[in-house]
Amino acid sequence: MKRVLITCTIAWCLTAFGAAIAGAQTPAAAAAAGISGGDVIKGVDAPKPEDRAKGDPAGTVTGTVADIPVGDAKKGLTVADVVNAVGQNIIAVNFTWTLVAGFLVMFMQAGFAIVETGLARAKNANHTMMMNFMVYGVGMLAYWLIGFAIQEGGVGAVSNLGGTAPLNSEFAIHIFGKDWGLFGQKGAFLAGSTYDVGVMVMFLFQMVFMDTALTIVTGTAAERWKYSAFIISSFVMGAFTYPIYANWAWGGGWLATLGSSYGLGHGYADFAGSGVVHAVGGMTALVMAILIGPRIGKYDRDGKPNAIPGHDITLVLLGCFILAFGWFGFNPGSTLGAATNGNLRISSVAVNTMLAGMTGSFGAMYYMWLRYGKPDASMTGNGLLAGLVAITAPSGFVNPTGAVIIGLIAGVLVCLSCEFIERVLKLDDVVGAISVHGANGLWGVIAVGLFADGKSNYAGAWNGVNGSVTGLFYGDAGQLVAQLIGVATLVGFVFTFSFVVNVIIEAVWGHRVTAKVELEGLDIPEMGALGYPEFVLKGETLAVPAR
Amino acid sequence: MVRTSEALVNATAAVERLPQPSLPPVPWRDPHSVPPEELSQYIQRLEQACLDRPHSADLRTCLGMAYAMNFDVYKSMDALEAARAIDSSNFWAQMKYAELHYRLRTLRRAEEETLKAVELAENVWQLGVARRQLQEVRRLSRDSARNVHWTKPLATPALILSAMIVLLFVVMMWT
Repeated sequence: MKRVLITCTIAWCLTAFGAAIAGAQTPAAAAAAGISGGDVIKGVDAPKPEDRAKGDPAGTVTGTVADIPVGDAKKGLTVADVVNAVGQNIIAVNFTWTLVAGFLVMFMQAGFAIVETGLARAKNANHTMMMNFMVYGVGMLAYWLIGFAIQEGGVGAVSNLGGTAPLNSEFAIHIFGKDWGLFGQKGAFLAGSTYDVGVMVMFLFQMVFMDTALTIVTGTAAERWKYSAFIISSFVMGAFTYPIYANWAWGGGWLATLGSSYGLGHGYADFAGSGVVHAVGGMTALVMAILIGPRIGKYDRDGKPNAIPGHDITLVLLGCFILAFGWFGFNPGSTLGAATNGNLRISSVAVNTMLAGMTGSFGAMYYMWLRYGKPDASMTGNGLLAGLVAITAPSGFVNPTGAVIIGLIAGVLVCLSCEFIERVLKLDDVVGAISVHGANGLWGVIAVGLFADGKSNYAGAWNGVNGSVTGLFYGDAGQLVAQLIGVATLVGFVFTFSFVVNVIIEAVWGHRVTAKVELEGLDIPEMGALGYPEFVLKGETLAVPAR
Repeated sequence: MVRTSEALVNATAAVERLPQPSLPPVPWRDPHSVPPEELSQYIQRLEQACLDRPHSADLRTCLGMAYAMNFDVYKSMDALEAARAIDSSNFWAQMKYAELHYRLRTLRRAEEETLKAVELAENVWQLGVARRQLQEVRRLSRDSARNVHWTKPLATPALILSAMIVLLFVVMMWT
């Protein structure tokens, strides 16, 4: 009975004071309710030490009033102590959720690494793995030095993370009577006022997203990209290309404010990054495919493509599964919290993610089965990823039916796009990254403008516009316009910027290894060691064998 | 060397198909045994020899192999294709062309070309060489991830997908 009383009292305190704080957020409201922070709470007893010493198999005496820190031991537990504990618990839940989601996204690097390695030839396994391994470090360094400040330096207070108030400086230009945010200016080196717990969470989560974008490019340019050029190109992308677009979309830049400035829906809405992460990676991959050229032997003199099989399908499909698992950090984690502000929608986001991945793989599998007589494994894996990429932007705004449709279209689109890129554009994309991430990233961005059902409610507003993100099919054509502006920016700006950067790298350093290195395999000349030493040491000769 | 290469390209177009003796007129070295530093010079000599004897498929084959040893894949492909064009029944021209695809791991193509070489084998030894390569190509094909070889027209599925999207659009707007 006593335990029930204690539990009820604490629950009442938490509910009453939590609601007072979350709802009104003003001392005046608390005062109006006749409660003062200095009021001492009496009659709530902690479990006796001898009871605790017996153990707590039911979990009913663990986590009680005894666990609420008291500001003044002489005075005892006050209302202020409880309210502070409530606030900190909300933020702690959000921190934990966001950090764990970030850890999941970080693990996606492993998925990318083995998908790309499996689709490459065995003679390039070490090189492909090393690119995927080091893109993590290279990108992180660039982001810590420069990128994070550009992207998030002016994002302002993120309430889910307790404020992130130090990130308050956005460089903007004033055109047509409106501010156009271009890049942030605080947060480089995470020093000064940005040495802040909330900012750290933000950095970790955004950093792993950025790294995902970077690793997309290595898949397209695999088997012929000079390792040193890869490092330079990835550094520039992590420092500038990705953060600039991410600032415009997520950091308070001009795309995000299209709604508040020009009345276009809620501005460009990209929940978890179909555009910001995947399309940016896909556009850069497209640039690299154009600049670096196809692998030797991929095309005949007459332009007819030859299939160059990867060496390990088990790695490919295992990698796809790892990526699908990591995507549960990618999309649901993008709420940046699990408590309050409508964040319980994480369950819906997670389910949408699963469903779209499933229909994506179905779409690709059936497409290949119908067209080529077999449910091709590598394309089915790419279909799964395509569905996941496409649902990334809409995952927080659509219902499960929308997710299923978006994924299904993505699964078919990825097959068509792969075929188009290889046969019509004559570009050699080793893993199909341009199709998976580029084409479907753009599709995901557009899908928000079509399928957002207006039921989500993240603290009552998105991008500073009250209400829920609503697409064309649910009555808001303006949202679709904002999304199309985002697509145009990806194709117009990101592609062009990446192209210029990589043309400069090509001119100064050169992207491509020599024909000798490419034909021998990049493992020994570039890395100094084979990926599979015991498999590849068969005699290699082009000579006429001895009789 | 560039000048010789250009001359060779021009001369190749004018080569007539004539029956050729199966042995090369000069006992050229196996390009694999030529030290890398001598390879350029050796290629130049071979190119000149091809110019002098434009109807020799064996010389072209030897040149194709030398180009391949020099990592010049597309020149090698051209030389081997020229050799095949000069003498379509030349086993080694066909075999080395197939081997080039095998080395590039364009396995589907390598299998097709090696099968042709099997057909052209003139004795048990040649047959054995071709079959061993065919076996290896097939083993690699079996062990590798199938890479889609897009062969069917793209227009129909693209139209179907577009029609489906339009239909979806109409249905969603209607409801």
